[in-house]
Amino acid sequence: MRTWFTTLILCAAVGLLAFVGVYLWEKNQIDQHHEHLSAFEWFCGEFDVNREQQLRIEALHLAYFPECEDHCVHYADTKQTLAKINEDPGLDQHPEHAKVVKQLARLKKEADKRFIDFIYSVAAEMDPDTSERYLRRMKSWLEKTSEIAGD
Amino acid sequence: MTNKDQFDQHLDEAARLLLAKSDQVGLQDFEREVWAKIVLHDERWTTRLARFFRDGTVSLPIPAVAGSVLVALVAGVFTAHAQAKVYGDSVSDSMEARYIATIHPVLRSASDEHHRHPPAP
Repeated sequence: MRTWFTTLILCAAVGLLAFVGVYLWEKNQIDQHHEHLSAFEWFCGEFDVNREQQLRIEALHLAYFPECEDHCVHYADTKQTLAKINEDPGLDQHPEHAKVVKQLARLKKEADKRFIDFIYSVAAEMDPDTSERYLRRMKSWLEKTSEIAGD
Repeated sequence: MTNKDQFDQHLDEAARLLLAKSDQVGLQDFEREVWAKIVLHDERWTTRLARFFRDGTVSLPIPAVAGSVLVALVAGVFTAHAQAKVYGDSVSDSMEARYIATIHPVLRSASDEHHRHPPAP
């Protein structure tokens, strides 16, 4: 029981059991917490939004969703049109190609502008320190949208 | 039998033998032999640990075994906690991506969120 080899095996077994037990327990807690969580509920939890703020911010989200959805559909349609033009070698230098590219860039710019207006309106309802954190994290997504739009 | 019991037993035995041979000469060698045996049984765990690394002795002192197991336990718990935090952060990141997909038209069109109307709070 006290040889170096059995001690090593014992330590490895104890360490492994402790790791597996604690990790699975904590993972289960995390999964259970996120299982039925909507994106908005996640937002409220992540940015410590209280009940009063939640109602006002929820109203802002609900008012913004239809506008966002319309813009999204418009953007997706334009992107699809551009993809079709790109597939056709005969339309490479066609004025329609340049027009659609311009339109897509304009829609992207508009989307960013609306997004920024919206996150600032949401941040205005939050506590100063959390609003700063919220804005910093949301703005970091603007670069990613540019990457996606570039694709 | 504990080390202390062994020590006491050897001491008693040594005293008894010394008393029995008190009329003989050359007791120094005899004493040295007795004390060497006593020292061997009364060895501290630090010297035994040092001897383990020096001589490759197969036996580890109990405090060293208990300490190693405790360290392994604590290391396992801390590693699991750190790993669970990484997992939690990745889940939170995916929730953030879902949230963004509800409020940015470009990301919304890139995800499958625009097929689900209306987007929820």
